[in-house]
Parts: sequence; structure tokens; C-alpha cells
Amino acid sequence: MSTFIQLHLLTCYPPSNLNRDDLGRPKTAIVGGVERLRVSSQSLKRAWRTSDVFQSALAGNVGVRTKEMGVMVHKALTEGRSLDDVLRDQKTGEGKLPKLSDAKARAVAKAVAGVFGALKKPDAAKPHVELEIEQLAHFSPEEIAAVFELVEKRRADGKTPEAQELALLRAKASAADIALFGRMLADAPEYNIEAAAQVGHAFGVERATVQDDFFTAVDDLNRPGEDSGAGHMGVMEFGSALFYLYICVNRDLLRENLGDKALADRALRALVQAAATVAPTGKQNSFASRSAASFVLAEKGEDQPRSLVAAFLQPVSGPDMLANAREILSRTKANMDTAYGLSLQALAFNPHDGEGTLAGLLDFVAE
Amino acid sequence: MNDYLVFQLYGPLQSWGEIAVGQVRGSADHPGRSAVAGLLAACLGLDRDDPRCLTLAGALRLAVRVDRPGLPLIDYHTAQCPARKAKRRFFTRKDELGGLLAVGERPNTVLSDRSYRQDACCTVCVWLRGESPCGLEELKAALLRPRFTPYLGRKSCPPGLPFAPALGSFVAPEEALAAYPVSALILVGLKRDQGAGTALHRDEDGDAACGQVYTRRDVPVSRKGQFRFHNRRELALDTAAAKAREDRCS
Repeated sequence: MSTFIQLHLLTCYPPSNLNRDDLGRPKTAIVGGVERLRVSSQSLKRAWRTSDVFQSALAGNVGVRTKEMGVMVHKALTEGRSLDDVLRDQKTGEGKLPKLSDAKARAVAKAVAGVFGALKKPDAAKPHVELEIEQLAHFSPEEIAAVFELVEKRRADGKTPEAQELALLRAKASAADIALFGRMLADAPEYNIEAAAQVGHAFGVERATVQDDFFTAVDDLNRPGEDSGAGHMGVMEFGSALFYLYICVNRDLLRENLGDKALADRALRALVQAAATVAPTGKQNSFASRSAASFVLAEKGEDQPRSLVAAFLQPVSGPDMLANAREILSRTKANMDTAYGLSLQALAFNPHDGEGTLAGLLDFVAE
Repeated sequence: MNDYLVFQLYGPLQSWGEIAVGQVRGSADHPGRSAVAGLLAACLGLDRDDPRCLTLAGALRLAVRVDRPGLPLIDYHTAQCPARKAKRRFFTRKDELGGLLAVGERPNTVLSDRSYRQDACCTVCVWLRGESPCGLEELKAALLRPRFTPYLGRKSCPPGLPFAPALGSFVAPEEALAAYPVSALILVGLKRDQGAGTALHRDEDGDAACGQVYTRRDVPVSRKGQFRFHNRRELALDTAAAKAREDRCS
């Protein structure tokens, strides 16, 4: 048996088109004989894994976000100062450590920076640009410590770091991402890892109404009387719903995958935080539909995990849909636990009524 | 008399893979032997390449009552992955989808059409023949407190009700199934009546029960390299379902 962490989230999305099919229509499914809006589990996982929330929550502590780590490494090596000093204060004069030639320092700096992002193209006018990366990267305190260590080693021998040393810089971030979401390599099955996190498709708790937005764009230089038609016409489909989402994490498998309890707990917190606060990015420029969870019920225990989707087989209605959905969810849980003799620890986080906190929820799942 | 273990499978989405090559990934309306053996092996905590999985699949006999066949859903699925290049290594999914890509580089996209059953529910009856890594009692305990996360054909299809396994002695699997009622919640919740609760599919088990016989390729033989399956003959004991299948095949 294993300990399963189960999460039931209710998240309300205003008109949006978060996850669409090959015709551009929001995805749907029939639940309880009634059509509902659907966001696929894959779409949700992609949004979480690529979010800054996930990345920084995984780091545990606040780290540094920068494009310029390569520039700092170069500076530390050519000016004979420790990287720590350079990151703290870039203006202090030259240090007392050994210095490396520009060419050698440049090779080290590019190798290190290249692990965290794609390097910028060289520019003859700005010699330091090729040491920068294209996007801001998040460096956790542990990663910075690993970079410090590597820089001092290379200062001593002047060599360019090897691939294996570079991989160590990001070993933990990589391991946590894969331990949660799995990896399947058809041509190298020995590297496959079974995902510790299971994410269901999110369903609307109410009947779906996918609507059409017929839109026109005006050509500002059209002259009335000559050509008064629209410059462009189109149709976009959208819908709005309160979504029920179910997540189940096998905590034992997560710890086994990582071999590090502290890192496993951090990965679990990162997942829950991302699930509660990060929305899929589809069509955000047209709809700005970002939402955080309005209700989260967390459960912990060894009984067979099951979603509570049965609560919403009957579409939820009424003037206060959120309160009704919350009530029905809690009632279904109580009934199901009694009927099937399940014993699970549970905690509710209800930001709508100021009950509980996200921090409390994270502590509950990780303790 | 024989011992039978009966349990229910309900989830809003389920996917019981059939022969699938390339982009189209079909789904049957009820699980086959490899699906049920895989579910039980996961609950027991057997790794995918554990040889006991194949022993279990070989010993397992199956009867499935389709309480609600549900409706098909085809999910348009896209997955992105950047091209492989020498000296480039991705550490996280975020790296793959942006962080480590050159300016203007777009990851490649793979498309697939993945089939599911929506609003489906079935009751499964299993018994054992020959050498098995464990008995029905152990399988029951594993279903109640599984080791790995159970799912209905795909990881994104969590069960929506406990399996509620029941163990008993009966003359035939049909009787074992008849003694196991459909959950009240399903009867009320999945109102739509799609000729439900009458179709029953089961292994030919050396007896002379008559019905429509068809072949499913779902007896796992090997997981090394390309997965290999053997054929299995299944009896459909419902005339309506058998007729429908005949019509589809002709």
C-alpha cells in the first residue's frame, strides 16, 4: 500500500477558450448525460510545468532570476574575485584569487550559462552579449552553490567544464520534474520513470454552452460610400464554467523516484501550488481568463484513491453555483466514505470565505 | 462451485485500448484481459517489466458486464518536443518548450486522436486458472489498498468510485455478476439508457455456453522491444450486443 494525496479543486474560468480541438472549439465531454466544458489533463500539466510558479516553488527558497549568470562567471574568473562577491556587489575592485585569461573564462562562462538557457548570438560591438541567455532563468540557492563550486574548480585548472559536471548543476530540478510527471523514451526504456502524479481531465460542473463570438475588424482607411465593409470577419468559440479537477499523487512513489524526502516534499508543494494558481495559457490575449482555485479539498490516506466527479453527474445549478458545488462535493465525499468504509485525513481550503490558507494546504500535503 | 472476485469500474472517462498503429488510438467499450491484468498488477505493486505480470495475465479469466456502455469521445491530442541536436540537453519540460531553444526555433508537434468512453460503467468478474502469482484474496486486498495509482486504461482516467471488490463462491461467473448490484449512484447519475446492463462478455472457459464468439488481441506475451499479444476468444452473451457487433464488422 501507498500514501495517496488526493486533491479536488473547483476553479471558475470566465469566458475563455483554454484548450481547443482541431476545429478551434473548446473541448467538451459528456458527463452524466450532459455536455460539459473540458480541459485535458495534458493541457493543465503543460501550463504548470512551464510556469514560473512551479519553477520557483520547486527551488524551495527565493533564488535569483537573471539572464546574466554567464557574465558574472566571466567577471569572477577574469577579475580574480569569488562569484559570491560578484553576485553581491559588481562594483568592488579586483580580488585576490587567481585570474583566468579572457578566452578561458569565456569558455567556462558560456558552458555554465548554456545549461540554463539558449545563449544569445555573438555581437562584435558588445563582447559580453554572447555570455547572456535569451530568457530570464531561475537559479535556486542550491544551483547557485553548485555554480560557485564549479567556478572555483575551473579557476584552479582553467579547463572547460565537462557535460557531466554541467548536468549536475540542474540535476535536482530535472529529477523533480520527471519524478512528478514521468518520462517515456521508446528507444531507451531503461530511463523510463513512472509519473507519481495523476491528473484527471477538468470538467465543468454545469451544462456547457459553447458560444460563438462573431467579430469584425474595421479598416480605418475605408471611405464611407466607396467601401464600407469590414476589413476582416471571423468567428471564435468560447465558453465559461466552474471546473472540477482531480489530482492524485502517490507520495511513496514520488519519494522512491527522487530518493530524497525533502526534495519530494518540495516537488509535491510545487505541484499543489501550481495546480491552485496557474491556468492554461490558451487564448489569454483575447480573454485574460487567468483564475486561481476557489476551493480545494485535500485528502491523505492509504485507501484506494477515487475522484469525486460523481458529485457533479447531476449538473449544478442555482443562484450561488460555487457554494452549491462546494456543498455537494463535501456531501458526496461524506457519503462515499461512509458507504465504502474509507478513512482519509482531509483539509479544506476555501479562499472564497477566507477559510484556511494556501500555505496551510501545502503543509498538510507535505507533512 | 468456483471462487470469483467481482468489482466495479466507473470513471467519467475510460480508455480500453485496441490494436493501435500510428495516429489513431481506438478504445473498446469494455476492458480486455491485458487491461484488467494491468490494473490488478498495479494494485499489487508489480513493476511493468516484472515477469509475474505475464503469469497473472495468463491465469486470469474474465467476465465483464457492461452496465453503461457510454459514448465515444475522440480527443484531439498534440504533444510538442524540440528536435534533437548534438550537445543540447534539456533538463525540464520548461527547457524543452522555450528556455533552451534558439530564437525562432519552434518545437515539433506530434498529433494523435485518442479515443475514450465517456459516462461508461462496467462490473468485472475475475477468476484464476493454472499458475498465478497470487490468489483472489490477495487481489481483493490490493484493490482496497493499492500500491500504485490505479487508472481506467489511461493515467488521465482516475476511477470515480471505489472498486468495492466482493469475493464469493458461485456456479458460474454470470451468477457472481448477478449477485453484485450496480451502484445506486450510477443508476441515478448515468440516467441515459443506452440499452444498458444487458451486454455481458466473457472468456470461453471450456464450457459450452453459447453466444457470439469474437477475437480480441489482448493476452500479453512479451513487453520486450515491441509489445506482443496473443488472440483471445470472448463470448458475447447478449443477442442485441452481438447483433450490433456483427453489423459493425460486416
